[in-house]
Amino acid sequence: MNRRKTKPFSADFWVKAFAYFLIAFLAIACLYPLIMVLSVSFSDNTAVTKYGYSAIPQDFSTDTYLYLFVHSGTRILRSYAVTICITIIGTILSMIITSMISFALSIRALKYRNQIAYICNFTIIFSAGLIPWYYVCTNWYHLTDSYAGLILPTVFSVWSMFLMRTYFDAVPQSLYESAKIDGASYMKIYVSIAIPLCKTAMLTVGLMYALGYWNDWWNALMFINDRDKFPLQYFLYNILSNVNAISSGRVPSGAAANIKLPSETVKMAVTMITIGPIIFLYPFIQKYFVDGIMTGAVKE
Amino acid sequence: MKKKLSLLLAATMLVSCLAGCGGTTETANTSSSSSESTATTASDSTEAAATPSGEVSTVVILYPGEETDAMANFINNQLNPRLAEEAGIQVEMLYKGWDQYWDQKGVMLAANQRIDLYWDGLPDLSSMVNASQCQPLDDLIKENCPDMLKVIPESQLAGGVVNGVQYGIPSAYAPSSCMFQLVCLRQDILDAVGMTDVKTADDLKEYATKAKEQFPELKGPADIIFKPLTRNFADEQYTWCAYGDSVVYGEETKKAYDYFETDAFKEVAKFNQSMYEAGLYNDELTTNYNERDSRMQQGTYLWVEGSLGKENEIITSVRGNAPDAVLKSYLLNPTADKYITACGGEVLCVPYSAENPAGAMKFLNWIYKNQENYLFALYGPEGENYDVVDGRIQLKDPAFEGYFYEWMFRNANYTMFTTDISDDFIKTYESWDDNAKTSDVIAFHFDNSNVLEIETDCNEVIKQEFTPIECGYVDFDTNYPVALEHLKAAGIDEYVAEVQRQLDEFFAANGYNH
Repeated sequence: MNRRKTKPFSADFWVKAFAYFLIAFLAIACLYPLIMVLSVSFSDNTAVTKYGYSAIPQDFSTDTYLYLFVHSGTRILRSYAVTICITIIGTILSMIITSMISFALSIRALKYRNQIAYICNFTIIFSAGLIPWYYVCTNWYHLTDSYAGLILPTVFSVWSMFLMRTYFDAVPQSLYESAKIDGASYMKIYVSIAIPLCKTAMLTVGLMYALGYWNDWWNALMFINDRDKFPLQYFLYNILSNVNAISSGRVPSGAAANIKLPSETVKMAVTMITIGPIIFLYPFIQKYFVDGIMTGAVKE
Repeated sequence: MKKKLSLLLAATMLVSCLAGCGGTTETANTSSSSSESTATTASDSTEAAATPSGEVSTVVILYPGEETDAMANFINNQLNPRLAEEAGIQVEMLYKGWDQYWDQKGVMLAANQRIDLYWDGLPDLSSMVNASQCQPLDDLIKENCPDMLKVIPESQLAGGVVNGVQYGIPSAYAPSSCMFQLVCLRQDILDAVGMTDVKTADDLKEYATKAKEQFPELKGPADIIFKPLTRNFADEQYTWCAYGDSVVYGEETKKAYDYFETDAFKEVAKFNQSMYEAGLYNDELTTNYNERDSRMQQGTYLWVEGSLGKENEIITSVRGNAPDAVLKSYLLNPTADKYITACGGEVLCVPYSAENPAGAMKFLNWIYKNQENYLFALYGPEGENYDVVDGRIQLKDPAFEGYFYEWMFRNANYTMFTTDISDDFIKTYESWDDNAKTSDVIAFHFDNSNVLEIETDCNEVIKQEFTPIECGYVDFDTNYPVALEHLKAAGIDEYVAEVQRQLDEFFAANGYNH
């Protein structure tokens, strides 16, 4: 049987062309600032001060990166190490705690599970505020100047718990019941059935936690005084914070004159150091998200 | 049954929350505790800090800025051994970056974190007292600071008195008349355009115009310099005496005024507008007003507002970008009287949560005991980072920034200039306050607790409407009447009346006859 080729409508062509154009425009609009940041970080500071930002590096120079890494000595490398360790340990701990409580709350046989969920919900809506939280963390939990202070305050997110609970709720209870009949404990069911079936949720929540730990500087600001324990983001935040301080106008004249403001190239280099690893890593992780989402998309 | 259980759970949560709000004997008193109980705590601490001989007590100092390796090494290996031997104390520095310093200070003091000594701006002392962030120091100073009292006179200490109680130590004691009324400008550019002096606002305009013609790559003034311009246009000295820029005290008329209704303000606004219209001001002077110092340090701007010594503070940074730069400060309307309007700009305080307030006072007393200690704290031991040559400090490395901030602990009795400071400046410095008058409001601290809401409303109008007018960014004739109407509606008259009332009380209490 011959198949007749359908003549494409000219309207389709124009719609397609417009769609491609719009997407390309949005992609360039998103990419251009990143290119600008990268370009300025590799430019000579005097040229940037005189001529402004440019997409092409002006008087190409790696002095800024050398300054940051050499001037900081081993500190920036130590900060990297602290951040990587905190991210890995914190993410694993957060995932264990969050997935366990989510799984437990998804078991219909759990008594008072709704009450427990209600208590968790309560903390989303009501909060004691900054000072009581700080008071509890420092005076009761003694998190000052400890690595635990970088992990424990944000080890559990109720939002992530509800997200994971939704996924666990979608797993047929009959699977758990049949496993129980076969003699499996709840721990066995959690490890062997629930977790494998909710890979997408695990990856999604895991990435959220990992990004949260990677980008966190707030806990370091509140609890860490020892420079050896500064995570990367707080270390870099300190380099840039003087800009905000000067802008606020609160810094006294004598101090303002002596505050070293980072140059434009330093600001951009710090930005690249901060986001660089995530930009490199994300494309490798992204395919797992796509696979995970697509796995759940086809229903036959 | 389930409903009852839910209610029980909610009640348990509520009770545990309320229980958590209560203090225990182990926790320090909260700021809402009466001052009597905290005074008792302070005196107990004083006794506790009088350690037996041989024991060294720790003083925790909250310090703005970042820790450096050099500073850490100095504190641990040089300063603390000396302090331990000579004063029985050692310091533990708690650094908080400038951006977060004030927020962190507030949180830490509210949570009764241990801080024995901290710095803040002297103009904020009144609000710190209202927030119970500093304890009375009268007895502590008397018992622990005999040497400090020799170099910080009563007149300077009076700046730290609020309602008759010494709550802070105004630590920056130095010639200070005409504070923020000087114009620090590029002298090399002034010479290049053929001018020799700047005494009036018109001279400044001429300088900016000629500089623009001859040096088009420069970006003009870095600052709208409203305080020097106010001095230029006012008939009498106006001293700012409340929060922000809203209220001034006329030193000759002896009254408080809304600054934005004075003729001087109108002249300042019109002058700045003319500078904009002539293309001599950039937009960032208005939009990024607070970054004036950092603009000046870029080396491409002409002038910035300052106080005595401004040129020395920023010359290194300016020359980093403009190696041939020369800075000099000028006083507009130089024949008008000079006034000392403040006991410096810095204050050192001891919070109620301090565990070693006596130790904190001993630390300050040690610094001010003699010039050798003072220079040691600022620059380290002589011979290591500097030498003293003909009464001047010769730095071994010009990039050396010192240890404790000089501006925080400045004392005219001990100040020693570096070799790059000109003899002319030193001569000016030493005689700067000679013919200066002391402002009536030098030790006045305005308590805004009665007018907090009005102050907030007025500051909002000032920020949104008067700042662009003051900077000359918008047309004066069109915008000023509307802005003034809004300021009146915000309650500026009541605010000024409250300032005047407190001034009258202050004058009566201090024996002023006006």
